[in-house]
Amino acid sequence: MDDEAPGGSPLSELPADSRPLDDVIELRLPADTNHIPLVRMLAQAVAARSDYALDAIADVKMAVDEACAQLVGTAEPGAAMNCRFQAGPENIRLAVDARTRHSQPPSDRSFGWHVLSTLATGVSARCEPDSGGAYRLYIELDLSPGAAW
Amino acid sequence: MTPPPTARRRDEYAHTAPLFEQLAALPADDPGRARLRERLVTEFLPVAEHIATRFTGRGEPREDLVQVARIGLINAIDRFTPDRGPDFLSFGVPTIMGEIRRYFRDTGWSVRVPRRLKELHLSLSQGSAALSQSLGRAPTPSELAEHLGLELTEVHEGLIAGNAYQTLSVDRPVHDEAEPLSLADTLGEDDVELEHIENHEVLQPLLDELPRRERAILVMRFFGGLTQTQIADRVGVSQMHVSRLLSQTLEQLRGKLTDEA
Repeated sequence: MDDEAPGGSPLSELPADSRPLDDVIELRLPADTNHIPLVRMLAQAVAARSDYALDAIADVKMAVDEACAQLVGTAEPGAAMNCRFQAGPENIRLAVDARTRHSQPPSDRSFGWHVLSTLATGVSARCEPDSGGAYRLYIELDLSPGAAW
Repeated sequence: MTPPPTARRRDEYAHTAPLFEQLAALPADDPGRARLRERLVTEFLPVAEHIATRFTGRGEPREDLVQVARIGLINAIDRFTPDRGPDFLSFGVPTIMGEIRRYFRDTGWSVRVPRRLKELHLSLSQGSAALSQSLGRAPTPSELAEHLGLELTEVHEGLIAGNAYQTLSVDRPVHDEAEPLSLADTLGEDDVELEHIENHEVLQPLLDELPRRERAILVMRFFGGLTQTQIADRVGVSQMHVSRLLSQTLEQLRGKLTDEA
């Protein structure tokens, strides 16, 4: 379940002075359900600052909820979750990761995955070996202002 | 348009009394019941709107109040029997008001939010409804700022403040059979996409348990490909309300799916 190559960004084609700075915002917090609202609020603020339509902002919040819930659901007890938002001119990319004991990412045929792929234009998940025989689950979402279409 | 005094209103609706008698006389499975019920709902819609209007200015969008009042009206029509007395209004009006009061009790700010932010949130909601109408899609924060004559940062602030706003309607069944949700119903009954979900045999009964409106909204968004704004338009509530209902329904389903696993 590999993500598409990140290359070919239209950013580099813009003249330097009109090229928006890539806006990267990172948040690290316990992989715990109680903390998901923090990520959701940050997601909302990022989408609002990118001037997404109100329903797209609401979709971003729901997508973040779902991605974090999947991550928290499989995270090792006491694990931290890393969230990285990158707001570009075309979309917002969210990458979340946490340590897990599972070697496989969540099924792409679950209801949660269906929700994610409805809300985001791109979704990918992968597990990579981490220290101490554990793994790290990465979930990445591409959230566009017109994800709904 | 000023509301007519109650006395006049009662006369105005005198012709509905025989309809209630007819309805009461029909057996439960008579196909004529639905038609009569619909006619009665239509006759009394202005009453529901009038009551909803009386509750505006308290921080809730009018369209949401009207929707709640209509649900109250349908409840009242279903529960009213002519042996309660000849006058439906003396039963219906308190029932509708009760539904609205319950909505106010279950919906609101979960933490103390300054009045300025509450008002800001309400004007965002109203501005968003107006702009959605004229644009044919949901507005962006900058469009809202321009429309309302606000600073962009204020709009951002108001949207964030909306997180402290909640509605608990997912937890109680909503009686809304008269809502025009036939599209969603069709999608829900014969859904190919749902079949492709691996735990659909677990999911289906959970979906069936949901209040009808919540299920319809969920199906329209996740299996019907409609945007929240399109759903809001169809169901007759604000996009912000659709958003709250969707998030809550998803959260509820996530909890139950995890329990089942």
